[in-house]
Amino acid sequence: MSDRDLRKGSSEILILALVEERDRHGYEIAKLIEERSQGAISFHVASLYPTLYRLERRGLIAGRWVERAGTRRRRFYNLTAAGQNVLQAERRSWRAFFAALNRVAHFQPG
Amino acid sequence: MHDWKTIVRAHIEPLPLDAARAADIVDELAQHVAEHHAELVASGAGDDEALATALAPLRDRARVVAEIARADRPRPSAPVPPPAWRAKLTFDFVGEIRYALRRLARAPGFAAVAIATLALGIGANTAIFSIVHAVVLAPLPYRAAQRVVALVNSGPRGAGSITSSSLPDYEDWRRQATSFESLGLLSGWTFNLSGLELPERLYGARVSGSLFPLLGTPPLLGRVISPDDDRADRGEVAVLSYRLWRRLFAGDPGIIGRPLMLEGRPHVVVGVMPFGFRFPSDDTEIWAAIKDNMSGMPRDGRFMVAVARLKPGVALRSAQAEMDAISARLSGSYPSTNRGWRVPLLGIQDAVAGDAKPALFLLLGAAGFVLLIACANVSSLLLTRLTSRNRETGIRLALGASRAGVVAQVVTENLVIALLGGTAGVALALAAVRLVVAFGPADVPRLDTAGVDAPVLAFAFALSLAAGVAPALAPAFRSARAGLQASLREGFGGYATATGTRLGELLIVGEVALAVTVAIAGGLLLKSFAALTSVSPGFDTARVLSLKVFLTPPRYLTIDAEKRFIHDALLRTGEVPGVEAAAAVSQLPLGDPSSLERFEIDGRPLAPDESPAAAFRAVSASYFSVLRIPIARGHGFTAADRENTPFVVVVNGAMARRFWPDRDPIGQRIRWATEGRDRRWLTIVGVAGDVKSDGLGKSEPPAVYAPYTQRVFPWLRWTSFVVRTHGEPMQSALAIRRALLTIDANQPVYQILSLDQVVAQSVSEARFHTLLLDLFAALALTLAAVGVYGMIGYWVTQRMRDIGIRMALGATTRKIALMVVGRSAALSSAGVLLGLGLSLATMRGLSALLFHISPLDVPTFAQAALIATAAGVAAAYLPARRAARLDPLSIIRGE
Repeated sequence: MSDRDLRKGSSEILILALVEERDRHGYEIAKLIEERSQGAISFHVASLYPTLYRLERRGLIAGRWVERAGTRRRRFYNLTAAGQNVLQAERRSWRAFFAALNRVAHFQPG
Repeated sequence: MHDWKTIVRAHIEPLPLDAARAADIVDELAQHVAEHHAELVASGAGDDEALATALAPLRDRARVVAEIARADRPRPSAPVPPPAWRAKLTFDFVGEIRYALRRLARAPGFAAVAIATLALGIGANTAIFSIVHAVVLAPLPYRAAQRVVALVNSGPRGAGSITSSSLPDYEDWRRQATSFESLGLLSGWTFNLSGLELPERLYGARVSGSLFPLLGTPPLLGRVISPDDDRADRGEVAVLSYRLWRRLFAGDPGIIGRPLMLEGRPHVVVGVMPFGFRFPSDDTEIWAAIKDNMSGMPRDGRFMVAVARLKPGVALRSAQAEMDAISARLSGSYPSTNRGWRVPLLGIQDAVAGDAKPALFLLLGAAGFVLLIACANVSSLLLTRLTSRNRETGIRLALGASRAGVVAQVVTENLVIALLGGTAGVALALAAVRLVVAFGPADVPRLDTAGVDAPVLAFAFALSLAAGVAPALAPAFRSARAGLQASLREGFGGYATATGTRLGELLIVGEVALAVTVAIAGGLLLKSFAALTSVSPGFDTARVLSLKVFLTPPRYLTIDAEKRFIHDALLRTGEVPGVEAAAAVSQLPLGDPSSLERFEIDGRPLAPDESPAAAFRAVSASYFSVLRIPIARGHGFTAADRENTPFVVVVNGAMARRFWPDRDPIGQRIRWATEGRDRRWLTIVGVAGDVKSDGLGKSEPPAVYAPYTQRVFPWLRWTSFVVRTHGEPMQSALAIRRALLTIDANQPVYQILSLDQVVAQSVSEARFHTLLLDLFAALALTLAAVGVYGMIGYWVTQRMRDIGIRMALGATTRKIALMVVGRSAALSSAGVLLGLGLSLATMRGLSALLFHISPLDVPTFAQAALIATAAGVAAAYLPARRAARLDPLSIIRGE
């Protein structure tokens, strides 16, 4: 697996996981990834939106504009059924991948 | 307050998208930058500093736009429509089939191989099933046939057959049994039909008046034989089979009421039976009433067919218990004839299918194995095909297709293949069944009714559905799973294929195992057949013609009249040009069943439970020399042995060994034991070599030969002539037949065959089974080899990178080729081992069909294993060559 593949694959799963919790807009997604990864992974405006649009094009997430009184017009993304499927499959496969890595390379004791 | 949109628009290049979408994206990016900026300001940064930080990621203006545009395109400018799958909740069957056909048309190679494979598998099964259906399963055309049973008389020396009841026993059963609504009796009969252009011999039966009402089959024309017809004061009537009616009378509907001259007496035709009615066997062409034709038959004259209809509500088991009690009583009353005899009741369907059943089910099993192999092949073909389509599947899934939808698509495609294959298979089966009906053995009951009819078509359709769904399931599910992963990791497909290869390898191992099993069965049958046909019949068949006559009243009312005919016939035949010598025998070896007669030995009192019996054969003095049967001791007969000279007999080796194991039988005397018969003593003058009378695979019973001039049994009406010729025997047939007609123009001559043909006919059923099974074995091995070839080819494709790297690291082409062949050999060997195990567990079921070979014959197992392994290794040749010729550089560069 090339580094590029790995990054692309992992960034997509991160986004899918975040919009699985609830509908989110772009800035919120970028901020949450940075916070939760304690700065290890960061997205900026130029890298986040191509990924979002790609996921949307594949039908894994869907965006819609929401206007609320007192706030700016924002684009919110939610997880589609297909996105749900992919996310589950990816979770399984990554879990297996990590378990295999761990068995070989012993990340964690035990 | 900044105008964020303007700022962003100024920082990036124009988006190559439609205006509305471009505005949307700018809006969204502006949103992001604004929030970032606001947060930076809130945490204490200055406005300029925050602005610079928030806009920094957009520094590479061209790249940002390119990435966004690539990610976003193609995108409809209209609002996003609902995903397709939501609108298509109902499965569009016709559309799916059309789509499947289009996809198959794009992969003609795959489609052709898969369709041909399934056509062979389904065709073989359909053909065999149509035979099994006709012979075993199709209901007999009797009223409530499940209540009709055959009374299979079984003696102390083993199981009887449907033709093993005697008249006196039948009368007792009929009087004593209460389980039956009625009983019926039938005796095989040969009628000489005269008064037509040529005298004709008809094989038929005389039946009790109760038989036809018992069976309850309505006649096609007229009426059946009724109890009244069986009364002595009634005129003779006849019922014709459909075949005879068509053959002799061209289906004349005015046949009813016409008299036929049978045995010199007019028999009025009262009915014609429908096509499907054959009782008791296929070759029964005409039925007449028994009347008193059988009176005086001894209790051990066991050659008749007895059937019964169970009373409603009476279980077979309780009827059997009653018959056992009756058998025990008869055994007590008539120990000499009935000790050890009982009457198993057999459903008429089983009784009719009889011996044909095990071999047919064996063939059905073998055909089933062939189909399983074909399915495994299709499965592994699909696996290969779907792996190459992972990307497509991934896109479908990503676009919202459900996993079930993907599976349904693969299954639909394979269903289309299977239905096309099934159609081709039915066409194959049609041709095969026609061949079998035309050239199959004559003694398999109802074989000629086999055809591809509605039940057979239903079977083929069900088989096609199964063959469409079953092989597709595993690859389809795997594809649905793998496709999901592939959808997220474009350009990366190597991770999921390991399971695909493993599944494919399992299929190959299974295929090879099945093929080995069929090959072992085929090998066993082949060796058994070779052993059977290498058995010497005990006589010389070269250049010998055989002909049969059945001498009946009124002309041959007495034994003397029969003897005169035989004498004259031998004389005239001997004068025919090309004839070397002629002889007569009452039972042609391998052509007529032996009839056993009980006898006593002079000076040897019988133990109470002893009743020695031997086959009786009346022969002309020339018989032993014409057939070149060796006389081991003493001498044969001469023309001087006549009615008025001392009565002499020749016994066979089996008789000498059984009854005179420690002394010379020459000079010993025997006589027939049946009361009311000629009981004079007969002196043994010679011992003849054993002849395989009842079948090449069967041992010869004790037998007594007597000169036909000293014949004592009035019922012995049939005689065969055996004629040794100088040239091809069939060329003399017409001349000999003409010579016989000069003696009696009304005497039919039938079954004119060379002895080689007689021998060949006696093994025709075994030849038929062997041929079919070995055909299946060849088919199974070929399909399995094709499967191995496909799978190894797939394996090589999957390992291109690996092979390229190995080569780059210095592996020789030889080493690469060996690696591929080694893989194939490993898989084949695993299959072979499994197949050997499977055979060990199942081959015992073949015992009944094998002659002089153990069902666990080690050489056969070894040979089949060797052939299968060799086929597996050979199948790897092409993939190995391909692998060895790969160019490592281009593979690695192609990464």
